[in-house]
Amino acid sequence: MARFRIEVNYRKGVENPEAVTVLRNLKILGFEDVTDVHVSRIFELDIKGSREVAEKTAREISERILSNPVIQEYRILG
Amino acid sequence: MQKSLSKSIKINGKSADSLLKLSENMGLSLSSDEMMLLQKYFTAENRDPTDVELNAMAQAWSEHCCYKSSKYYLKKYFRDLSRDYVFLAMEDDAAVVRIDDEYSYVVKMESHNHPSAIEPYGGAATGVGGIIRDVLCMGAQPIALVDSLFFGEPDYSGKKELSTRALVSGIVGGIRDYGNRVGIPTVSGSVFFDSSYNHNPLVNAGCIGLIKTDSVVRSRIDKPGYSLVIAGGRTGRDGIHGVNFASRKISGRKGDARSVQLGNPIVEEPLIHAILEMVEMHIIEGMKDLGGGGMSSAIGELVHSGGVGAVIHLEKVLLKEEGMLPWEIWVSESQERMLLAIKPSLIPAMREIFEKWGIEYSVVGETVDGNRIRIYYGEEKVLDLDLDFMTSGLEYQRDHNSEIRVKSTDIPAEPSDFTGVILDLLSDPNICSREAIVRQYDHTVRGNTIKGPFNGRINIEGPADSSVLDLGIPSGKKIVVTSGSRPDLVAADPFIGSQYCVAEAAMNIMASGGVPHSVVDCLNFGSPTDPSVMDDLIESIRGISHACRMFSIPVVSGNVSLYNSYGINHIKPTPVIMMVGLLDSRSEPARQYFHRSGLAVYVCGKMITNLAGSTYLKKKGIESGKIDQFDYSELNEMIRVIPSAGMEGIIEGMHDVSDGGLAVTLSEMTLGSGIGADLEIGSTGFGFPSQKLFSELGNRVVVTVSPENEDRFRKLFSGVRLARIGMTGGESLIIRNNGVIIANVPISEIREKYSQGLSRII
Repeated sequence: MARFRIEVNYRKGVENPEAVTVLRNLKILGFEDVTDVHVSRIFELDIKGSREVAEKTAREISERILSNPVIQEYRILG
Repeated sequence: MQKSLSKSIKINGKSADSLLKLSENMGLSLSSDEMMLLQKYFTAENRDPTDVELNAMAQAWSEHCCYKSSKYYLKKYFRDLSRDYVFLAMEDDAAVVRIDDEYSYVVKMESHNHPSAIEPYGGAATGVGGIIRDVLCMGAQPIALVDSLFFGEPDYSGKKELSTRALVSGIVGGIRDYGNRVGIPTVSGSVFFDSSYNHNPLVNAGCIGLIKTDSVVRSRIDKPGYSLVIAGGRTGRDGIHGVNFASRKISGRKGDARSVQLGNPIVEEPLIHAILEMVEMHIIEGMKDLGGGGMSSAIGELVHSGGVGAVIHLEKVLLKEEGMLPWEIWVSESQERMLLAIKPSLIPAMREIFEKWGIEYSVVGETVDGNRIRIYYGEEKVLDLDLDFMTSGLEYQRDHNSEIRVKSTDIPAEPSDFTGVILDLLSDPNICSREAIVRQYDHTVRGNTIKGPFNGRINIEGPADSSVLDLGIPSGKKIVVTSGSRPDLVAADPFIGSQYCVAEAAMNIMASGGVPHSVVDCLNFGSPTDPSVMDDLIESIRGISHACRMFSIPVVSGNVSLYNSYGINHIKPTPVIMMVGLLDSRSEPARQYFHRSGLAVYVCGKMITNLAGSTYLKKKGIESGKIDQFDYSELNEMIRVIPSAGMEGIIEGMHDVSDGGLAVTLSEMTLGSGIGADLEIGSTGFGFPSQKLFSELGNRVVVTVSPENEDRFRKLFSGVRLARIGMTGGESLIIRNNGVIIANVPISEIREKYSQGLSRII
């Protein structure tokens, strides 16, 4: 059994409406010093079998299901 | 000294081949001939272009922006189709058509096919956002959305491309989330599945707005010294070269990220309020939406159509990210942006409104006398072009020839089990209930929708032919709207098939009791470099023109999407017709179901026994040959008498015969109430029962009439073929042919088959 932490982010240059909205609201609430906000998603998968095969599965899931390769990228954190 | 951000690109003296290579390397999608034209212009100016200039020209000359393959034919066939009530057609970003002395509706439809194929959710969402802004930029309050969608076979699952299932969920999700969040109802549309769209789904989005005619804001500015303002979303690297990409074939999914625009309805919603407030205060002199082509095409067209020039400072544009190059800023297709021309003395009033709604904006330049556009980034001049040259665009008359089409259609043996055939048709993905898709859209937000995509008793509603919007204006006029296409008929014969698309829309408007008022066409075709596709396009335009002339309806606006191809495979020719009709203040929208027992059922209009183009044959895998023309004079007579019959309360319900033929029309009419009918088709004309029940040609409408009104009905419809086929009642649809029962379909089974059809995709 192996555990994978997968982080999915918007690609550089792709605006994340959620982050934009958080930033805007922080400013409204008076947190003027905040200059940027990033929002990403983290998935944790437990996968059976050898580490090597499991990592391949994790990559396939990340590419095909957890992220949208056109606007997002993923990282396996470990 | 500051480092130069723009660079000069050497084109003078280069050969055609190396120019083509340059175009490919820079992602310009220009042909070698087009590059040669650019070379000629810059040789005459005695210099090489900058990267900003080359990118600007590539945008301006893309198929998407200048309609180079279709313009000649659109002008030839649509030019003199107008009526006195048309206020603005084919000129500005959207058409303006008068409803009465005071109010007009604004209407437009556009395709967003290529982006939706790559990134279905974002592509479809921005299609909706863009069409809303097209209507908004005329100064109108957007009041309703429609969308016509075309997908591959339901079970298609490509290796490299997205499966139909993924496309449906992404595209429908995008439309749902943008429309619902921005608070504009999606009231009408169509969904069609066919293997020719496996690699090329089509997303056509339309929008209607309401405006007082004297408040219309033109998409032009004709005075120098006005400030040019970009408001709304910021400019980023998303959507760069979107239009160039939309002007070539799709070749895979990865690496096209930058061509895709991403939407944010949370920015667009307050933008609509702010703009409308400014329109009411007459602050805005000229306005355009930033869509395909970005600032380059919006600013160029705004000033050029008013006959002035412009000076732009790109460093003043608000950016999503740092380090964007001047050419990227100039051609970016980031969403939710509007371009306004404002008198400098009114800038403080504008600022107040934008600040109130939390909208970002920046003054990026001003209009000047003359005919040139000059762009600076800081001190550096990055573009200096003649506007006639930049916005004129190209015009092609490409080769076209008609391929040999199948002439005749094989006639299959009569089915032994009509009940089974009817139930099978009802579960076909192109006929079955669209509720799984359409129910995701809010169709009543804003409170104008008095008839939506479904009608009937609550919880058992059946499909409606068109939707009706109460505008809340003093004259009490209502708007009726529909949109769709008949690709199978157009593929069989583009000239006649395209006329069927217009006729079907007219019959849908008529079935709600309305009178057809204007047409917006959205033409989706394959690659125009293929002579047979070009021929389809020309014949289709000719067909729409002919039909509109025969119905006396103006074509007020349109859109052409070409290169919907994958390798050598093209989509079926798909001219989508969005039609707007008007419903008199004294009329209630007509219903499309048997609302009570004991009503007489009539089939009105010409029957054609030819089964070509029918779903019945398609399901049997039989190729369709030539299709036959419907009867214009009879259909026009129906369009003339039905509104008055509706007003006098003579007609209880009606539904046009379309996909699936008469059998499907009758089945659908049982759904809204659960009331059946006992019908005799022997009297409807000569032909086999399968031809009478499943032919989709002709101009038939099923009408229900209360027995006490039958005499008045017959008198009013004296100019129309009529066949009285039976009465409503019971709990099943019984169909007899010369006395013999050939089908007996319980309504519970109709409902089950009909409602489950899309369940394997959604």
